[in-house]
This record gives sequence, structure tokens and C-alpha cells, in this order.
Amino acid sequence: MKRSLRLLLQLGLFSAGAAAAAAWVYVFFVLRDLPRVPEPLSRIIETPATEIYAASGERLLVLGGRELVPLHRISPHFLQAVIAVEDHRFWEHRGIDKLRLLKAFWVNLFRRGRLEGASTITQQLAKNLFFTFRRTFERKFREMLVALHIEARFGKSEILEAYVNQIAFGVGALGVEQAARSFFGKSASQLTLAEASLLAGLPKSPTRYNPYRHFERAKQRQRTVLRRMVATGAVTAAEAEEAFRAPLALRPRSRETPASGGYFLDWVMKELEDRYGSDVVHHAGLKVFTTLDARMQAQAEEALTAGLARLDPLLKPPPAAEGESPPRLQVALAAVEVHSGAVRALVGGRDYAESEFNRAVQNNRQPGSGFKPFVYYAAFEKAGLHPASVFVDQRVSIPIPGQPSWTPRNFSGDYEGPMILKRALAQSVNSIAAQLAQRVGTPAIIDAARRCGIKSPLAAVPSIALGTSGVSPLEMASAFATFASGGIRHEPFAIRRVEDSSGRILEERLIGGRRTIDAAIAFQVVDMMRAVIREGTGRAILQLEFRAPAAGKTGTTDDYLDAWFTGFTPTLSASVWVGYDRAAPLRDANGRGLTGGRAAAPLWAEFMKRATEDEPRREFPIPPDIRFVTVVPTTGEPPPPWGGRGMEVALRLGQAPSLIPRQEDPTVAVPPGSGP
Amino acid sequence: MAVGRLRSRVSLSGVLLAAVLAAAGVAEFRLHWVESLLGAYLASTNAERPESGLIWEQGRRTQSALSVVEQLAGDREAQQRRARNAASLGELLALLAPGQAVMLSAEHFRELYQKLPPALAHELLSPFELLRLAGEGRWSRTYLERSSDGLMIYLLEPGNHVLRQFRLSDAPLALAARRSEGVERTLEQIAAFRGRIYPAERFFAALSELGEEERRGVLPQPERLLGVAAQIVRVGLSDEALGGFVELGFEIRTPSGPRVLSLPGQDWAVWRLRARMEGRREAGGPSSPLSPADARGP
Repeated sequence: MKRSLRLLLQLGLFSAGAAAAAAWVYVFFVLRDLPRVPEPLSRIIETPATEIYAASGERLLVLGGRELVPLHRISPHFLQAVIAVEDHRFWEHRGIDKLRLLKAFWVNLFRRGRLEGASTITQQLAKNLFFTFRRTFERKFREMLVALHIEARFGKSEILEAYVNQIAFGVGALGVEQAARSFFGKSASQLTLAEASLLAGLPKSPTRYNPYRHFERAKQRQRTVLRRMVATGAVTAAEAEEAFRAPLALRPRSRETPASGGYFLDWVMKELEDRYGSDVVHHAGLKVFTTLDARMQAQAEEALTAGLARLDPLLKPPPAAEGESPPRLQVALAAVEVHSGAVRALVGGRDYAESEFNRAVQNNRQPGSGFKPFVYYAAFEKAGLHPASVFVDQRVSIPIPGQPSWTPRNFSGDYEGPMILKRALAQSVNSIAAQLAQRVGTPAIIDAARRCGIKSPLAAVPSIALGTSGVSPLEMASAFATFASGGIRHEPFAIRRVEDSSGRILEERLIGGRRTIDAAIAFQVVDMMRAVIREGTGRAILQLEFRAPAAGKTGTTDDYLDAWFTGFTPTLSASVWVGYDRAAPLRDANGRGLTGGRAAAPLWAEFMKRATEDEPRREFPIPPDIRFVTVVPTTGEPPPPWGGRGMEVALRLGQAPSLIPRQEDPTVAVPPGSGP
Repeated sequence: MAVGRLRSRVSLSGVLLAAVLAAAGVAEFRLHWVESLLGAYLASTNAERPESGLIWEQGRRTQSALSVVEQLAGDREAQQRRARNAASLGELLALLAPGQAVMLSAEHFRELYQKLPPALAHELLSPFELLRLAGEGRWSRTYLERSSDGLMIYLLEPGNHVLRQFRLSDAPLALAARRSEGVERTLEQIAAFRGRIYPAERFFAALSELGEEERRGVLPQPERLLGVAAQIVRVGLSDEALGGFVELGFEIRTPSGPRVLSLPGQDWAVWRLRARMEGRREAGGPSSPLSPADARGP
């Protein structure tokens, strides 16, 4: 008995010794490639930030960079809260909390379904600085060793300072200072107990406890933090209760968070990364000055939100695909300064947090009749036609070699007979657009669209007249701006200037346009598009009391899949698209389809009203070789002396109503009807 | 009895060992000596360990990104510095590779513009237009971008809107350079004079036969030639008029070899001189070039 007990003891001692020896061997094995710890520790925090600014001066986004905030400039409430909830024995241990470690070991081993961590603040710092988030035993062990090193080399205050300056709080905020500014619009030194306890709870899971999206969850987490603070004696129960009940003035999701202007910033980031590479953009501390007008961007978002709130209840949502929720109506807007091409506002969808797909730039949706101004421009330029030329709205059939003839239908289903081209565009008559396309040929139309700024692939088919090739709202806004500027094309752009962190200029944008289309013909098309708003398919604009001089064109595609309105004042051009991401029609509860004039034009009007409210009234400049003549809309002839309804048209020198050719041959073809 | 039984089962060394282990365990929980020892060891070997892990990787990327930006900004600054010191547009052109660009103040560009030969300057942009732009006060800077065959020049207002833009091709700038300093070539090597090269004596003899106004027309700046220390051996006449002026090339002999200095002459006067040199009475446009024998240089 005695002998066996001794043997057992010796065996135990031997095993313990062997285990200790193996542990040391393992330690030295791991030590070989343990990372070097930077000194001083604060060096890890100070990286220059890339900052992106709006044209109006607001800082839109800060990328990557952090500035160390010393502990004495951080609210003590926050420091107490973070220690209480993350590592209450922080001031006592040497990097590892052995008691907590044993407890976690016990819980994880014997209580099924429960996982408990025991990482100290120092271990979390080590993990964040050196290791990936892959969970392995070896990583955990290395993390512990680095924590021991950090504790041996640096003081507790230094460690805590490094920790609170680099933890992630969500919404792009790294470090307590950025978090305090992002969530509460104040500095870390000004945080109250209520605010500090809310923030201290976020690093555990910034997405899960994001107070903007899951406020109740964030409040529950705040309660946990406050309880821990009471348990550690940092605050009394009464103070904790008062803090929990205190209202939290969360800063509205502002321009400093990617939610607002997020689509624009994505576009800017892509452009920057294409030019400089991702590392330079994220780590070199660039200062990027963009064209965005923060006020106009907010107005665009407000207008679209209000418009969607009106459209959502009106529309019958399309059926959901199996296992998915019904698709939500989407919207996009691009607004471009006419005389520079500067993009002033850009909204790529209804909610950036929900979908980052930028429909204002990347979408490729058919513009429908919104494409017709290019057709009319080509017809005026190449075929010598003008706004008073008379065409006959009638059933036409356009022969297509090797295919059945194309017979376009009008949106209304009726044909109105002879009419001048100005009226045909205002009423968005498909049969006449098809006749024009046949007269001038698709290459001339494509050429006109290209010169205006359309860059998407355009199919050389007769139906191009009715906008059957996809384009983006940004392209449309920019191409219509070429009409608005009297034929001067400005490339749309988002970045005005890029500087390095010391203010040295790396690039700056020259704002120059070139004439790509004729000024007088461009004005004729503009004048016709004014009629779209005054008496055509875009009348909703006037009904919504947008009274500034403006011109534009509605667009609706087959089966109401897309609704567009693109229009401009003499200074600002904007395009609005409304539709579903997948092919689903815009129909109301009665099955009636929503046209561009009904779905998109009100959103455009609402935005333009806000965006131009402070601008002085400006008229479109009239080129010197333009004169106005009143004609009868059905004959193109001067109205009889005894009166009658006339329509004013803009004619160039040498053009006269009496010279109007009469077009009556209907041997043309058109595709299934695009609407107004 | 019980003590004896215990003593028979547990040795003293075992008790001591257990006590030491227990003491070590308690001491570790109270004093954290294992962590401290290991931490101290790790701190002492820090310098020998690799700069690996997320933070170092990020540091390297930051350093690399900063050096890329430093290079970009440095190159741009150096180019701007050189551009500021350029004495002529030709010199500026020589500094820039295709695709490179510099920004000059409006005043600096005006200085360079004034150094252009009047005909070329007029051809580029009317001085009255430049005066108008300067007078309006909107023109603040000038952006010059080298293209494969010359310079694109943009006159900018403070918001970087382009007020005027124009192209200046290499050829007239090369001409301007010839006019200011001369080039180390013979007249035959300059295409503009090919077939219209005359001995210097014949040129000056014909010049002396002209009236004062015509002579001033042929050589508006005779002091430029008087300042030349070397002997003028041949004269070439261009037949391309630019802004009412044609180019006259004077080949001189210098110790380092032949050199051509160009000067502008008013087209009507040069054509009269040429008619006289070729024995024709009427001054008009260019007619027959000299025979190759006449054109051969000394």
C-alpha cells in the first residue's frame, strides 16, 4: 500500500515535471516567431487619416487615421465602465486573469451550451494589434504571451490608453474619441455616465448592439454595463438607475457616417483607389475635396424619402421569390451642375445600410422615352427638321432586315394624326419618334447621345428611339446638362482636389467643357422639353409648384418596369429613377401602371424645389440665331388671323413654318410601346 | 499510533515538496511571479523578434503609402520649381515629358508670353485678348500640359474653370528658341529654309538696295545681328508667313561649328528682297528657289 502510494506520488510528480518541461518547450517554440511589440505603444495609434470633404466644407468621411487621446482627456465614467465590463481585475493582474481563466475553463468544459471568455484588456489589446480573429489554441496562447510582455514593459495607464484608443465601436468609429463624436457629437471628455455606459457596451459586438439599428438591445447592454459598475463599486445603484433612465441624445445619422452620402462616397473611394491604389487611400492621410453639396445631398435624401413614403402605400408590391421577403421599391438620383459637370448630390438607393448597390452610377436600366431628346436632336441636325416640322401620328411599321417588322404603339393606344414635332415630344408620341429614327438612322442617334455624354453600350436597333438600351441616372443627368449648357459637354466628376497630409496638391480638376452639339439646335430641344413640363407628360412638375424655368423628359419602360424623370434648370440637371431591382412592374392596387410622370417626376420636383430655392431665377440663354414663331400644333402653319390655339416654337435662321415639309408616309416600324 | 501510521505512509520529503508547491502556487496567485518572469524575459528579447502581425503589416502599408505620396508630391513640387525658373515657354516645354503638367501664376505666364516673338505670340493668343482677361481679374492661374506634339495651355479662374484653352505646337516654339539663342545646325538642316538659301554678301547687297522702310521691314531688329561676334556666311528665307512675318535664318561660323540664328521679317519686305536677289523687279510671293550651286555653303 505504502509502496504503491509512493509510486503514485512519484508518477504524479514526474508527470507534472514532464508537463512543465513540455510547457516550457512549447513556450520557447511559440516564442520563435512571437511578434515584436512596438515602443512606445502609442505609436500604434498614430496613423494619418484620409479625410473626404464636401464642396460646402463639411467633413464627409474619415478613413483609417487615429489620433491618440490621453487618458486625462477621456471621461472617467467611460474608463470605469469599460474596466467594469471588460476586465474588472485590470489593475491587479499581470496580463492574465487566472481566476477568470479557471472559471471560464470550468464553464466551457462542464456547462454545455455556454461559452465564457476570459480575455483581459491587455489580451484584447494584444489580439487587436497582432492577430487575426481566427480562433485557435495557439493564437490564444500567443496572445497571452504578448499580453505578458506588454504588462511587463508598459504601465497600466499606458495599456488602458492604447486600448481605449483603438477599439472598434461600429459605424466606422475606432477609438473612444471617434465613437463619442460619431454617436453623441461630443468629445470623449464630455461623456456622461449614461453615454459612457452605452459606449462601453458596444465593443463586445458593435453590429449587434448598434444603437441606431437595435436601440433596445443597446439599452440592455447598457444595463449590463451599469450593473457591472455597481458591482465593482464604480457607481451606486441609484446613480446607475438614473443613468439608465437618462435620455440618450444620439446624434442623427449624419454626414459623418456613411449612411448619408454613402453612395457618393463609395463612388469617390472607387475613383481614388483606381488612381492611387487602396493602400494610399486608406493609409496615406489624403485630403480629398469633393463636389458634393452637403445641403443639396440632404435635400435629395429628404425628397426621395418623402417620395417613397408616398409611393410605398400606393404600390402593389410584386410577389416575393420563395424564401425571400417582397422586393422593396428602389430609387436613385443624380444631380449635376450644368456649367461644370460637378456632381452635387447622388443617391444610389433607398437605404445605404440595406443595400450598397449604387443605382445612380452602376444601374443599367432602359430610359424609355427619356431617350427621345437625343433622337430629336439627331433629326434636327441630320435631317434638317425643326420643332415645327409636321409628322403624322399613325400606326407605322418599320421593316427590320431578317426580322418581323417593328410596330411601335403609343402609350395611350391612340393616334392623333398630324402634329408638329414639339408637340410630339411634349406628348411623348412613340410612332413619331420611330419615324424620326428611321429618317435619320440609328448611327446618327447614337452619335448624338454619345456627344451629349451617354457612355453605356447602345444597341443600333430602330427601337433605340424609344430608349431600349440601358443607361444610369448619372449618365442621363450629365447628358441632359449638355442641352442645358447650350451644347457644351462637361464630364461629370466627383473629386475637385486631392492633397497629401501636409496640404501639398497631388491633383486638381480643371473645369472645362467642349462644344459637342450645336447651340441653336440644343436650344430647340430644350425649348421642346420645356413644353414637356408646361403642357406635356411632365405636368406634375408644375402641379407641384416648381415654377423655375426648367425642361425635362419623362420615361417609362415596357410594362412599367422603370419610371424616369430627367430634367434641368439653367444651372442644375438631375435625373430620378424609380423601380424594383428585379424586373417587376410599378402598379398600384388597381393594377394601373405608374409612369415616369407619376412616379419619378414628383420626386424630381420635390428635390429641385429644395435645391434651387435660394437661387435667383435664371432663364435659359437664347442663342442669337433663334427666333420664336407661333404655329398651329397640328399643321405647323401660322395661326389664322381670327385666332385659334397656337404653340410657340424656336426656329433657327433660315427655318420657317412655310418651309415645313409634310411627312405622310407611314412605312416605318416601331417596338412594343414605351410610355411617356 | 496514528502519527506513526501517517509517517509510515508519507515521507518528509513529500510533505516538503507539497508545501513548496503549495507556497509557489499561492505566491503565484498573489504575486504573479510566473507572468512577471515570462513577461520580463519576453521584453528583454523584444528586439530580436520579427515585426510581424497586423499592426506591423499596417505600419508597413502606411510607410509604403506615405512614400508613394511623398514621391508624387515631391515630383510635382520639383516640376513646379523648375517651371517657375523657366525663362521661356520653349524651356518649359523641354522640362516636361508628355502627360506632365505644371501650374503657373497668371503673371508668370504673361512674362513668358511677352518673351515669345510677336508673330508667334499673336498667333497663339491676341495680346488684346490677354489684356482683356487680365483686366477682368478672373484669370488667376495657367495650367500647361505637355502633349506629344506641344503644350496645351489653360487659362484658369480661381475656381479652376477654364477661361481659354489653346494648343502651342512644338514647331513654333522651336522657332522661337532659334530666334533667341540660335541652334547648332546648318541652314540645310532646317526644313523651313530648304531651297531658299543665299550667300550672305548677296543678301546684304540686296538689302542695301532697298529703301529704309523696306530694310526695317526685312530686319526690324538689326541690333540682334550686330551683337553677333561671328561672321554671317549664309542667309535662309522661309516662305511660311505667321502673323504677317516670315523667318530669316542667319548661318554664322563659330569656333564650335555652324550655328543658325533666326529673326522675323515682315513678309512683304522679305518677298521684295527675295525678288531683288533673284533678279525680279516685282515683289510678291515666293517664286523660284536658288540653284543648288548658289545654295551650297562655304
